[in-house]
Amino acid sequence: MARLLVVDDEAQIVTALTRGLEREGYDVEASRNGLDAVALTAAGSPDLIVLDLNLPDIDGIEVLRRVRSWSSVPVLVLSGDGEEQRKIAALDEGADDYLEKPFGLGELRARVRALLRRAGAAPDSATVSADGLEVDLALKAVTVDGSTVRLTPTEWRLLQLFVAQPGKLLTHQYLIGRIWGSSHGDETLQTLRAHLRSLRRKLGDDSKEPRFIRTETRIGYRWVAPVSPAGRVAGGRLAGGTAADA
Amino acid sequence: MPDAVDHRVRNILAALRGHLELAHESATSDRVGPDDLLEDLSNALDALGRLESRLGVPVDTGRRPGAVPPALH
Repeated sequence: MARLLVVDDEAQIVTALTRGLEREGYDVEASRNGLDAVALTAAGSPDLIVLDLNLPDIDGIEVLRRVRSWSSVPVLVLSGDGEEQRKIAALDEGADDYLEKPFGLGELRARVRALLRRAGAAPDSATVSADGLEVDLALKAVTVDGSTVRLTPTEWRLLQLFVAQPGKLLTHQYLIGRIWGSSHGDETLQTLRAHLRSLRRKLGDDSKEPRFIRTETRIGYRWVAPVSPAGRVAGGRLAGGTAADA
Repeated sequence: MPDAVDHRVRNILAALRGHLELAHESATSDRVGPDDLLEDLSNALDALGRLESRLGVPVDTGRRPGAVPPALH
């Protein structure tokens, strides 16, 4: 599942883009200003950024300049002022493509797919499976051993993060930041643990003999079941994996 | 579209189009539920309201300011 960052100061556009891209199975994070966008890119390493040029704090072209100083993440620029010079400047600063507002959702999705394909990060199947678990990322539907499981929004978000990064150690701070925001810290740890316990229970997992989620004591959690697009045969259980910078 | 169009109007039009396309998708696809359709339409109406406000176009709600119904005898 590719992770996208949507940056636009217009809340209505952020909502439309987020809903439209999540339905395609992408994991979407949003930012309403340029400085947050730079910070989120550094912290979350998205697979693609959809970037509006008119932002309230720093200009979208300045965001591009800063991101391009260390990252080659594909950037699709949204232009709202129709000025050719702005588009040229954005492309010169490293934008990979641009769309002028208003645009069709289908065209936006096609351009996102094309950029991800070029970058070698084409979105996975909208449905993934792992050791009896089936997760439909578009429908937000989960079954375990054929039985439907109902998850809360937080449990769903946790599951999304795990199946998107199987084998990778996801630290407490990373999970808290992705779910509740970067302003939350250790005071949210007990809440995270409570949601994890509930998710495990619903998946029929056992923390002592984990089928899906293994606790890495005092650090975080790791998804241990092999994940594959639904329909393909998954390989053996993942080995311990490597410590990650999550 | 002429360049003279305010970029805020372009923004709202982009959002309105997005919400309406999502609503159409919700209504015609079995992959999305009825709750999504309602949310998409609500978002579209919200965007339309902002556009009307931006353009200074009052919405006729059937009420006239200052109008008083005739007295009943």
